[in-house]
Amino acid sequence: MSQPLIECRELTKFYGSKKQPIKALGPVNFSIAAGSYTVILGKSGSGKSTLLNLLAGLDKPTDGEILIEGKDITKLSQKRLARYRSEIGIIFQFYNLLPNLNTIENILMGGWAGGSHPDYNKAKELLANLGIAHREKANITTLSGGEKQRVAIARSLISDPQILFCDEPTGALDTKNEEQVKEILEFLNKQGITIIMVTHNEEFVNNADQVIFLKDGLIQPFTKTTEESHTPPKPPTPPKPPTPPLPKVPLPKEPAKKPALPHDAKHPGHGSSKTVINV
Amino acid sequence: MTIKSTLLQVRKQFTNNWFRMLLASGGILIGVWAIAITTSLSLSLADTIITAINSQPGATQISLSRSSEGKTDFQELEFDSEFSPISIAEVEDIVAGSDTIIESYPTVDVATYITGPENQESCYTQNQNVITQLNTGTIKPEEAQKIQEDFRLKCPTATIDFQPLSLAVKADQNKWVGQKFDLSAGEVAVCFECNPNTPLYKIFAANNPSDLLGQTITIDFTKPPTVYKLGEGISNTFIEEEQEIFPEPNQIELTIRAVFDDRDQETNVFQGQGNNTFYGTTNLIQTAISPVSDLNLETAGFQTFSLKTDSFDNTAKTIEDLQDKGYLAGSGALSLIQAIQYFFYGVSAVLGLFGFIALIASMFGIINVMTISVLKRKKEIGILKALGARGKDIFNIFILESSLLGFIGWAAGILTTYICLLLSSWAFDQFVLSNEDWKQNLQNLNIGSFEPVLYWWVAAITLALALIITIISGLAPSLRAAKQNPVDVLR
Ligand SMILES: Nc1ncnc2c1ncn2[C@@H]1O[C@H](COP(=O)(O)OP(=O)(O)O)[C@@H](O)[C@H]1O
Ligand SMILES: [Mg+2]
Repeated sequence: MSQPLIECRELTKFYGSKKQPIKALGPVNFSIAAGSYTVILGKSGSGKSTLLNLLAGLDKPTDGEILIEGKDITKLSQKRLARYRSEIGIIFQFYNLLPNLNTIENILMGGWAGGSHPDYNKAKELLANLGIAHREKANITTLSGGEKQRVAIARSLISDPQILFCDEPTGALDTKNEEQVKEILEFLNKQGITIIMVTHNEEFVNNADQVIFLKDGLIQPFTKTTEESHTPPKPPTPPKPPTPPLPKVPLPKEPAKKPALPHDAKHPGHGSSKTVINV
Repeated sequence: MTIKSTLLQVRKQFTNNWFRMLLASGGILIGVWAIAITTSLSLSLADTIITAINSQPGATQISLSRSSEGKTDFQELEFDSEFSPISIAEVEDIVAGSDTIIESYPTVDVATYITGPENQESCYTQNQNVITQLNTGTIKPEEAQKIQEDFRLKCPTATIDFQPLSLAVKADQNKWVGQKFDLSAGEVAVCFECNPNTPLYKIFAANNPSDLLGQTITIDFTKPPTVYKLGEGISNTFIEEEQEIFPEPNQIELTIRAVFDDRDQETNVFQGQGNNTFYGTTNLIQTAISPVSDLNLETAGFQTFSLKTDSFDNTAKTIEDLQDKGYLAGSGALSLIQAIQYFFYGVSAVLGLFGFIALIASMFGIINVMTISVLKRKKEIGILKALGARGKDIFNIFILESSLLGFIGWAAGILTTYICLLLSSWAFDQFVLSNEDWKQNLQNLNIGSFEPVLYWWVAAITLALALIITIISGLAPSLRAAKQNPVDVLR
């Protein structure tokens, strides 16, 4: 079997002081296949964000390993870790946009922060495809929640990530916007982007290739609370190349291109170039 | 982060918080202003004064003596230092061997009475008569005073200065009448109205300077000029006592060949407080010392010679050369300039120190602002880091911001200084030059305006200081920002 895109071994996270450690996660073991749609499900306080932050390289685990294409990101230097962050996409519940910058600058910052020079036209195209072209120069504080989350999505896509981490991306949105964001993410997954989605909303499970159900920081077998609960989640499947039906919200034509970095671009013996992440 | 986006972040920070940023750079402004204004004002003032000194005809003058103890600097002299006389021939050799010395003349002090054609009787004799009558009680003191007042107009006293004329000529070419340089023995140059107390033209009943040309005057030398025997020591303290009064005045007839017309009283060339200064050749000295039987120009020595250099710039170097040869040499203008420079450097150093203290004090303000800025933008830092920015990138943003504070404060400080300097120049015109008397006096010193200069090196040093101080102040907050853990602020 080919190497998984993400693999966690004995991953553990404690908060608090050494004297009074508060266990938030783990130990957990799991792996995520390239191109899959993974939902991290659990009640509030179950450790979902903790896990996602660890996977996205925003925090260091207390113990354990996070292998991205076989490389342990917990042992990376600050500089390499920053590069890893610049190559993945991340979306937060409360958008985390920069209030000083306008819409288009926020999107471009997704590339600038990592030191690359994203194409201005591509940013405009993303805006257009997400239906907020008219807000290009808008002050970020004047945008609605739905608009803000679209800007955040555009920002995460500007540098062609292979993995998109989402922490309750619809948690602050109304039903209509929630539906649209869900569709966008599904579409992106069909384009080949690996999606790892944190939510407490069981509805997301329907689209998932894999569900990681957390309870008190530990992975538990997932059972649906509704009548469909006996249908097990789909097993992890490789990405589906055939064109899916177009969602209501038009999306980037080519959302997932590999950022071809000159060095360290491919691991020998590894198959699809799509799944290569430079760390 | 890319350079462009780093600058974008900094720019947005400044445009969105311009008032706070302006306040923060206020301390730098004051510090830079204090340093720049004090150095500029005091150094420009010094420069103006120095230029005034330089432009005076006497500025290229060097005093030359020889100390019996081998001292070479006038400042080393003590009250009772002994001199060793120098001969005219020796100095002529020095002049011939130098590229920069153009003239030399011995400094000789002579008190005289001048008798003009109006007075057939010698002024010296007339004065003696008045004194005798007063002593014998023939006239009352009030009468004597009246006679002497009238007498002073007709019989002025004079200091004979055996200087080459070029010194005076240099001051104002247009004011000369007659031949200027070529004086032979028995000829003098005079000033038409240099001394308002004893106006020379009155004793000739002359109306124009040219009326004096060719006139003959009699000068009564009442004591020998200060001339010494070569090889003997001259003690500074006893010169006056050694001078004997001639039993009979030594009379010389002189023809006026050149006249300096100073009726506008604007040229300060012929100094001499109560006396008229005459300019003549060294041959006059020979005549003046002739009653002293054992002295002539070949065997006579002088305590001090005046040398003139071709330009003020060469004066210091010439003095050094002379001192290397063992002479006691110095320049009044140069030591005056040095004193002025020391004084103003001292003043600007002390005042500049206040500015520096203000700069140091402004550090606290900047540390404050930058720390607040980091705290307020914790989330922004976290977002940037989550998007792939390195600690170095974050550090760059904040250190750039604080140095920009320094730069803005500096620029504002320099601008304020510049405006203040323009104001001071304007104030000088308005309040100083508007007074005709002051204006006159300043013009005599070649000062027609006060235009203080903002020296480029003052601007450069204050810029460096402002940047160093803001960078140091910004260092700790910037490092703190760089070390921020993204997850701690994104929750
Ligand atoms: N920085 C922190 N310090 C202390 N405890 C924390 C911190 N972050 C999270 N926790 C705790 O860890 C547990 C898991 O939190 P989190 O991962 O945010 O849960 P979820 O995202 O599933 O709601 C919670 O009990 C929470 O209170
Ligand atoms: Mg959470």
